[in-house]
Amino acid sequence: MRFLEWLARGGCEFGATFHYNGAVMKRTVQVVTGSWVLATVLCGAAHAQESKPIPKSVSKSLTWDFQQTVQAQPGSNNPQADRYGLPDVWHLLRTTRSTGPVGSRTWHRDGRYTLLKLRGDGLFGAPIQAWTFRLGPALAPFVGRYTAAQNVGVNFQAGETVIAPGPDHAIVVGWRSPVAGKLEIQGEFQHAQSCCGKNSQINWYVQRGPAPNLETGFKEVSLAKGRSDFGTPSEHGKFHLKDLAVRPGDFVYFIADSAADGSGTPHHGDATRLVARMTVHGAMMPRVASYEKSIRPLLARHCVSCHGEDSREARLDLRTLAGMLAGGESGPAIVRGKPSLSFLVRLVDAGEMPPRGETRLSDAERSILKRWILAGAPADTDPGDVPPVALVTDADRKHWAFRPPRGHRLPEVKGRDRVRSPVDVFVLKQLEDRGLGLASDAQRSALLRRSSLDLLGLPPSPESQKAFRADTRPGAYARLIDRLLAHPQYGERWGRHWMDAAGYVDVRLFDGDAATIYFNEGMWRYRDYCIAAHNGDVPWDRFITEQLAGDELVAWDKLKRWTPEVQRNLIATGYLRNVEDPTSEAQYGVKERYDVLFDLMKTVSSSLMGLTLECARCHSHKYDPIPQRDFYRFMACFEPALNVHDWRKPQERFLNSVSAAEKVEVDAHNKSVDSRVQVLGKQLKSAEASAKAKQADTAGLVDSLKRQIAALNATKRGYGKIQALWDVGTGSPSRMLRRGEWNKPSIPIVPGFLEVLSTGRAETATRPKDAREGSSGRRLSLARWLTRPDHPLTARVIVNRAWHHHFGAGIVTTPGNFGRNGARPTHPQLLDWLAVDFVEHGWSLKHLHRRIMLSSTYRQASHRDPVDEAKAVAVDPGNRLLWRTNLRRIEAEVVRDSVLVASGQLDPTPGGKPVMLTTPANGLSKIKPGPMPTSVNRRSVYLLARRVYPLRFLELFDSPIVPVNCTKRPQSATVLQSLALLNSQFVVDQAAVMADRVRRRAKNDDVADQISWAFRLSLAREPDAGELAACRQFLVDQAADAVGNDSLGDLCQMLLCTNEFLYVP
Amino acid sequence: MDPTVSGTISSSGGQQFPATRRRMLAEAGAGFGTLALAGLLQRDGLLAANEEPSDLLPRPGHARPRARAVIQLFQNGGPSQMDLFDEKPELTRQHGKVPSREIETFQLDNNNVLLKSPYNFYEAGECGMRLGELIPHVSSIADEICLVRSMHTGHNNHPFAINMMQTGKTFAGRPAMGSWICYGLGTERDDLPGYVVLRSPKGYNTSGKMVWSSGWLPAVYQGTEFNSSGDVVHYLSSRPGTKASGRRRALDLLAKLNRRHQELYPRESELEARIQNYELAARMQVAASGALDLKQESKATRAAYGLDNPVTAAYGARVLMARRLVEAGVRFVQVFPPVSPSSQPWDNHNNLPRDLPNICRQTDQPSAALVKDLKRRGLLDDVMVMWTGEFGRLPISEAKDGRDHNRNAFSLWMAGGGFRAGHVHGGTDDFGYAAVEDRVSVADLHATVLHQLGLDHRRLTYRHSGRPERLTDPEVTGARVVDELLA
Repeated sequence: MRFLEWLARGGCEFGATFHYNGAVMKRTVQVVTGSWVLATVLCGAAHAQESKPIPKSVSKSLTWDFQQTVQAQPGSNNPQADRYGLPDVWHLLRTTRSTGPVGSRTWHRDGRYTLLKLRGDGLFGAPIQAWTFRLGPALAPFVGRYTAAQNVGVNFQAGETVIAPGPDHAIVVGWRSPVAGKLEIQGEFQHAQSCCGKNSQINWYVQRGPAPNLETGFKEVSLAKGRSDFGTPSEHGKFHLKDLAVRPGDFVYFIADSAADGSGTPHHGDATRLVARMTVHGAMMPRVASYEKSIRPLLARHCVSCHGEDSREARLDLRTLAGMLAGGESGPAIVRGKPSLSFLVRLVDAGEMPPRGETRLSDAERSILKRWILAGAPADTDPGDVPPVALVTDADRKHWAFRPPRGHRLPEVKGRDRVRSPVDVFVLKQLEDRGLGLASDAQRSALLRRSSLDLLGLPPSPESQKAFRADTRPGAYARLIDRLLAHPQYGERWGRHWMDAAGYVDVRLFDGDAATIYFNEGMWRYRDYCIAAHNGDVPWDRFITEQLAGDELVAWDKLKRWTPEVQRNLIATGYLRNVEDPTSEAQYGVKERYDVLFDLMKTVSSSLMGLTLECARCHSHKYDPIPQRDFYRFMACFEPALNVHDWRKPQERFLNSVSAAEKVEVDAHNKSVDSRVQVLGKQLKSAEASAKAKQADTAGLVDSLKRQIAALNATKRGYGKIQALWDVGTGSPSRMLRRGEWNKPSIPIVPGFLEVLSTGRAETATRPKDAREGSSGRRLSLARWLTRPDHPLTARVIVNRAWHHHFGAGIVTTPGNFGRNGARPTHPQLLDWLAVDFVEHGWSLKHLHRRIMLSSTYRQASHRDPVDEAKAVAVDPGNRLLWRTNLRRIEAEVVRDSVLVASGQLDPTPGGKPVMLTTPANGLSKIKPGPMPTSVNRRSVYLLARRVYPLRFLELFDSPIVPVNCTKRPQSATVLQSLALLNSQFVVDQAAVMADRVRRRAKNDDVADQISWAFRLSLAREPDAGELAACRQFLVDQAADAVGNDSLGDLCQMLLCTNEFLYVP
Repeated sequence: MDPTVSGTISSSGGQQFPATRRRMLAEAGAGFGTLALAGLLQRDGLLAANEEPSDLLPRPGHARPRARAVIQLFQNGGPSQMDLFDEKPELTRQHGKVPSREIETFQLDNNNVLLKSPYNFYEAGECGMRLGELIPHVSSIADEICLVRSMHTGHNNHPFAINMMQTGKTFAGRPAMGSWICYGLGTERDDLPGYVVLRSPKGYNTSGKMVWSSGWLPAVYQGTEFNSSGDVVHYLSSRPGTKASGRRRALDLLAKLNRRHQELYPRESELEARIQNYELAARMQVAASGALDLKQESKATRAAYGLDNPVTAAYGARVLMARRLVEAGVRFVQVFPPVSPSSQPWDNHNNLPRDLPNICRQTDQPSAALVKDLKRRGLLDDVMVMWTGEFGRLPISEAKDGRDHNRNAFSLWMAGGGFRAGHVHGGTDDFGYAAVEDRVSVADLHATVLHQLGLDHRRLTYRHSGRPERLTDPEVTGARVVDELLA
């Protein structure tokens, strides 16, 4: 609808007078309770970017006359509400002070004006409609108009406008242009007060500028100024300005300041006639916003999450025009053509909607909205038949990671001789497209060390080096991979990778206090579960399901006896128990409980889905198409277990490792043992006493009693704790939180999954039939959704993480973020192919290892000859295309474990309670020797996992500090690492032990053999002639210098310090 | 280790190190700074080089800096503003009465009655700012400091508020301000870290190492703990009995083996960095030990920092070390208060009349001495001193005579670095409960500190997991540079 049409339809609601093409259209003022507008309004305020020319034939001149439009009316509110967004053109403002440049003063539109007439006041006995800032003796400043003829020095006719400054407040009338064009201003300030001598006069200004900033004023451009003094030649302060270019939103200010000659206080209340007529020639109308393009998205952004499909607060649905017109509990939301009768507009203007804490509509948005209503709320679509606003569009679903992976056909490549696996085809294709190829295969010794470090996190032992060297039959390498995958230490390596993503820690609190450890007792069972699951190659869909919902898979609460499977399923939910949980402190309440949920969401979304959801907690995600609603839908899956209104403190969230019935049984048994031991103990005491008193020979009795007690005690049975998660309490409805704030619950929400990964509206979490009776089944439903074979993210994320650990960089280099702001895959087809292949092969990680490690791509050398390399570097300096394998530094645990392997001191005992650490005041945390003397040399995965204070040696090599979890470790090379390798007690001691081992292994005192052994133990290879010579010379010189060092120990330590030792070849 | 070990060595190939190590390192993309390398860490875009630095080479900020270094005297626990910096006569008048407004408390044993300050306030300096009697030394530098009385923060418990003060957010895991600054500007020295932490040798303060974590910024920007007693840096000294010549020979062998290995990987700058690091380790031993050697200070200086007094000696030593470190070119030094009686010594929940004077006695003189000393040496223009806790305390009484946490108002002071001297900014309500006048948020403070160092808080970004992150997150916090604090 065009401007003229709605004008003709009576779209303009205020007391407006238009001079339009010479014709005057006047309409009755419609007073609106609670929302009065000071001055006339041209229907159609605007913003520059919104304006576009209307057809020339109707574009002429428009006029606004101040005098005809000031309408202080009974029953109306203060005119000073913020109305810049309104299509108002006249604004009443004031500034403090009457000195200094007007623009730099403090501006007010603070709503403190009062309607003079309502107080029964008049001005000089004459009835006046006016607004005033201050009542009483100092009646100033004010603006209004006389309702009857009046003489206050000059003669006023009924309806003429009068303004007055105060002694310290300038009165400012602002005119805001709703249109673009050439502006003509014509008018007069006429001072009209004869009293008070020379202290009664005004300075007046006509200025233009942007809308005033209430703090900083504005940069003024003076158009006209002067002094008006009753009864003098200057009384008529006339102005007439032409041809001023004006754009929508520009302001013109009419300002009256009280002036004085200096002989006294400036007089206030200098009544001044203001005549002001604004004419815009060649006016260009701003465009009315399109419902589809502007209005619907605007409402979807600000309103629809509460007044939409999921919830209709106040029974209002703002998704459709029909819904707006039909309205809710408070009547229609909008009235066509009448913004100020529109309830929606009133609430938005009053700042009541969106509710406190939410993002307010900007001035521009409010203006667009009102203009659209004013224009009759035109919609391009039939208002009754508007589909619900989708918060996620089909375009959003096109992002690569949101489409299901598909098994691409293998491309054609030239270098077929290097193709050992489909992996190679995809990699070669991209290399060949850029004129590159794969590097040649790495040496066997390097391959052995690489695959051993990759799969076990340990360098190969001299025995396995020998065995691999000896196996010259075809398929030796594949057999090696099989052997490594079957090795029990494989799970310790790959379990640790998953523990990073899960944020595994043995503590439950923030862990800020170095000296105190708050244990999550029995958490280690989850660590052992991860290791065992990897060793057993538990299919990942199963592994994920157990971790998210193991407690919903088995009827643990009903079973008399728990099988290992039942225990395992409960232990698996420890995945959800790594989150920091401070709620054991009495000061913490619902807020912190939500924080636990939020942290849990971070872990789950980044580790399993490769997405960061946390942005959507407070507002719809800025980068990814994840509406705020999705965040809470997803969170609702966990709320029955982490029920903020029926909360368990973290130390109460454990199950015993046996069923309730078994616990009773075991407790009873132990109790009876205790009582029998007690009886025997008494007998023992008296036997010993009589032996002491030499009353009888009771030695035999004492021995027998002691044996009986020991035997009885040995029959005692124990159980420990499982840190598990299960649904607790009675279900309470899940709600969205406004702005993510715990104390602002809004609409109830149905648990479900991401809309962008659903076709159409987001899927809801429906309770699976096989969910344990008594549990909500929400997490199980989530697990089932995540492990669908065609889920776009799950398999891709796992495959990418495995690739990351094998190559040092994932196909997506941001393993925790597959969203729009994450990295794009370097080999998207390969990623898809691997994901599909992974699922087709039963979600088997060991299958995936074979796929990757048997490829030529993996078997490449990590270096090339210089000419080749220069060529490749010119094309791909970061080796993203894999023209060689990356040289990777071994991770923290691998550094420590490798040192222990070299010295022969690694204690391979698996599982159990963590090896303790202590952190003395100097911060050098270290291993606390346990009851077993060898326990200090267990694998690093078994050391106590703290959030903030890991073993200092590991921390230096980038073992993660775990506020939440870690999807990608950094790889740093710091001086502190070099210092630790040179001077730490650990490395120095192990080097000395390694030297002893070398001496034992080497033939007699053969120095060359010793050097060879030192190389085998540390670098898994033989030294070459140059190295042998250098080392031999070193040993000779060192001995000759009589430095008192163990020369061979020094040699061993230096080998442990080499770059070669620290890098996967 | 014998300092002579750290001399220039020739590698196995007979290749001499360039005359200026710094330059060579810069050319090789190495240095103390190359401790983590862009090439390997940041490969987000396919084939694209990353533009974000991950080294400590000095680089210009966004604008001409007003200050080049920062010493943060971190006073964790929550110093009581109404007993130290923010005199409240109305609180005294209404002592014992129920406050007229609701007070947000943290602990459960608060009494909802107003508690006056037991301390007198006096005019200090030419500027006449009124300060409490417990900090006479800080009063003596009143004309040098910019006192902000209108700070407020996001959480009323320690770990969260400490995260806020350090990283701009209440949750853990983001980079500390010092890390951001080193990321933005690098550092002048290649043998000292850019960000040094000096804590009590008796233990960690609340939140421990998380306070100087570099979060997801490269590890090179992490705060490095220097010990004010014992080994300056962890693992700095070699095993007792190690003979220097033997160690030298071992290092030469190591260099030889590494060079042979490196021939295969001429472009792996990380390998080069590691080779350099063994030499830098030795240089660092000298540089760090020298920077922390307080014997080089005059008797008068040592006395000024209170080193001759057992009450002030330990904290005074750390503060004096901080001055020596910034003098030596360290960019950001963070000094922590004593850890006894608790790891948050300003946390006076009860018996404030006993504990507050106690911690003031330990910290007041050295803090003031630092500002005087910097001024005397002409360093106060270049070096910014921040005296700040993580939040303030409540005007009502907890237990009998203590005060609970308050996130709505606290006071801190800044000195040097272009901050307005002898200036008081902002104000609280009648009871010191909430900042009401010219409020300054923690994000505002961060923006202002960065600004003085020549860094624009809106432009200092680092891409993390695909998002351009900032210390101040201005779109959410509305952080602004508080010009009113600046000279």
